[in-house]
Amino acid sequence: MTVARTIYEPPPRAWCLGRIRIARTGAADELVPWEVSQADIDDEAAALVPVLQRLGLHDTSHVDPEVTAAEDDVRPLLLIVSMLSETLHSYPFETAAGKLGALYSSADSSRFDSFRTAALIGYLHPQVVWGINTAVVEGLTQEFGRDLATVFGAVPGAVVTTDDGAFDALTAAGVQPWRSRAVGATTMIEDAAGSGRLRYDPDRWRVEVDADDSDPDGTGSLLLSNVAPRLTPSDRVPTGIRGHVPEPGTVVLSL
Amino acid sequence: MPDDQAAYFERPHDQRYFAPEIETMPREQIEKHREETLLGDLIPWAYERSGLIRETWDAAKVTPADVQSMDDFHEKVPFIDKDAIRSYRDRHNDPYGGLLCIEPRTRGVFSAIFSTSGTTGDPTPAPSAGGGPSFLVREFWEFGCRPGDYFTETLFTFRGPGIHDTIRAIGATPVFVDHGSADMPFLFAANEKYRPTAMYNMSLAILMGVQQHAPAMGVDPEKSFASYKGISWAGEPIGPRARRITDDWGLELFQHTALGDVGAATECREHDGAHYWEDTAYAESLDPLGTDPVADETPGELVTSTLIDKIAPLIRYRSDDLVRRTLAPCACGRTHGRIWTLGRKGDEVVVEGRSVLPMDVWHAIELVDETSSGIFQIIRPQREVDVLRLRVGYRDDGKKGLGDLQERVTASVAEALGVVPDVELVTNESLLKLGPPHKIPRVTKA
Ligand SMILES: [Zn+2]
Repeated sequence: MTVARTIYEPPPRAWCLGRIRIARTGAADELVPWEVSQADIDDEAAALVPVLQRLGLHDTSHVDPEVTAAEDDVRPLLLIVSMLSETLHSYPFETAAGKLGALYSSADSSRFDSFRTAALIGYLHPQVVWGINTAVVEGLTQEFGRDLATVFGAVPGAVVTTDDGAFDALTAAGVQPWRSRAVGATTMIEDAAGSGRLRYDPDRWRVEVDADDSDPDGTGSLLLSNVAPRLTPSDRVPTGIRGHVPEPGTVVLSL
Repeated sequence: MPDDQAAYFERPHDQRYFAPEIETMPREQIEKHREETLLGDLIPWAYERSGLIRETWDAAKVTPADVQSMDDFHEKVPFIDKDAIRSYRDRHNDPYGGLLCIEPRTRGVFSAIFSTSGTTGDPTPAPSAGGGPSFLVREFWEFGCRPGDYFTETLFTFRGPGIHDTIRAIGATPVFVDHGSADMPFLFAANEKYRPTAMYNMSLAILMGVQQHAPAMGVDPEKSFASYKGISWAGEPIGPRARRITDDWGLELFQHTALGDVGAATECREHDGAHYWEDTAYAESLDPLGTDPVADETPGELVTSTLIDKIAPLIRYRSDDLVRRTLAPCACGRTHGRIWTLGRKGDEVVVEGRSVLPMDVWHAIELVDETSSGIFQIIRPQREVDVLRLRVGYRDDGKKGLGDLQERVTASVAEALGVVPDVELVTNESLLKLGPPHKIPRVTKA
C-alpha cells in the first residue's frame, strides 16, 4: 500500500439533529429540532424488524453472507421513500432491512422525485415500499401521467403510506395500502392493511390520551413518552394524532 | 500522526489537513500509487468481471496483459461513455449497464442500491456497500468544521447515507435540511440555535429559498449564516449574481463538482481550482473531439478512471465535461490535481464559428434587472446553429409589461459575445419547474 489508512475522529454524541412534529390542539404544527443517538437508531431498528416481516419483507439473514445467491434466489429489497428531513424516522428502516438480510433503496418523497419511486419499483422489484405520501401520488399522476395501480400493483408485499391523501388515492386505485405515522420520535405502522390500528412496542414507548383534550368516548390527542432510554427524552409529547389506546401496544386511529 | 491500529484519532483543531500524509503526497508517490492500483488491480478486476469493459476491450482487441505501463494505458485502453453504458443496459436488459463486478444478491458486500439523479426520468441504480465515510472528510475539515460542531446537510435521500457518515467521521453532528425553498424556516431556526459551521450543499434553489423566506420571517441572512465557516456550492457553477448575493451574506463558498462519475472535486480555501483526490481517481484531460492529451491549463474533456471503486468501476470514462486541469501544487500545500469546470461538451453550440457555453451568456443575462436571476436555456437542436436561440426567464412583477426587455437582453448578450441572439422571454417560474430542485436544464433541444 502506497497510501495510508485514514483514521477518523471519534463520533459525535448525537447521531443527527433531526426534527419531530409536535401538534397541540388549536395550535399550528411545530417542527422541533430533535437529537438522536446511534443507540436510539439501533433500538428503533430492532423494533422495526418484526414490523417489516409483517409487511412482507422476508428474512434471509440466515443465508451465509459469503455465499453468492443462486440465480433463482431473489434477495429481498425494501424501498424507502422519504425526505432527508425525515431521516430520524427513515434511517431505522435502512438498518432494520439489513438485519433481515435485505437490501434497501431510497427515493425522495417529493413531487419532482416521484418518477424515481416508479423507476426503482420497475428496476429493483422491492418486496415492500414504505413512505408513500400525497406529494408522491400527485407527482406520479399529475407530473408523470402514471397509473397508480400499474406502478404499485407490482409490489408483492405492503405498500405503506404516510398520510391520508396517499392512503385514499391508493385505495381508490385498487391497491390495498397500509398506514404508517410518525408519532413523535418513533414510527407506528398498522397491524393489517387499512385496519386503522397502529402497533408500537410498550416496552419502548408509552402512549396516552391527553385528558385535557379528549372526547367522552375516550378518544383524544395522543401523548408520547419514552420508556426505553433515548438521547432526547419524550415526556408526554403532543403528537397531533387523535385516537385511543385500547391496550398498551395498540393505537386505534380516529379516522 | 495517528497510530495505524487506532480506532479513532483526535487531531489538533488548528491542523490544516485532515489526512496530511495523503493530501500532500509527493507527485512521484501519487503516480506510483496510480500505476500500481490501476494496472495491477482495477484493470484486471474489471476486465474479468464487467461485461461492458470486457466487451469494449475485446472490440478494441486489447487485454490487461497489453497494458504494462501508463504509456500503454494512454495508447491502448479504449474509452467508455454514458451512451455505451445505456446501450449495454438496453441490449442486455441489465439496469447496471454492464458495469457491475459483483452480483447484487451477494450478501456481505452490498447493503443498498442507490441511484443517479436521472434528471431525464431514467435513474441508473448504483449498488453500494452502504454507509461509511468518504474522502470528503478532507474537504469538510478544510471548510473549517471541527469535532463537536453541527454541520448542515441538504442532500437527496437517493444518494444514501454516505454524507451523514462522512460528517460524523470528522466528529460533527449532521443537521438534516431538505434541499429546496420549503425547508428554509427550519434552516433559519437551526442556524440560530445550533450555529452550524459548515454546509453541504448550497445551490441556486437554496439561495432563492433564503431570499424568499428571510424578509417575511425577519431573518437577516448575514446574521443567520454568520456561524458558517465554509459552504459547498453544487448543482451547477456559481453565477456572478449568486456570487454577489452570497458575498453580501458573508458566505465563503467552496465550488464542488462531480469528477466524471468517479468522484468529486472541491475548492480549498485558496479558491484556485477544485481539488480532486488522485489517490481515488485518475483524471486525464483530452482533446474533446479526439484522443490526444491537451496541455495543462488548456480546455479539454475530462476522462476519468476510478482507483477505488471495485463494485462498478469506470475505466477511461469520457465524461462530456469540459475542464481546465492543472497538476501544479496548490498554494494550500496540497499536491493533488485541480480542475476548473467550463461546461458540458454536449452543451456547446457553435454559432458563426464561435463556441458558446452556458457560462458565456450567463453574466450578460444577469446584468439586465428583470432577468437578473440568471435563469435561462440555450436551445440547441444540434451543435452548429445559424442563430443563437435563448429562452430567458424574467421576474414577473405583474405591474408593468415587458416593454423593451427583449431588446435589452438581446443587446446585453450581443455585447458580451459578439453574436446577436434570438431571445424568447418566459417567466422564471415556468423555467424553474423544468428541473430538479437544485438545477434547471441549461440546454434543451427545442
Ligand atoms: Zn488547494
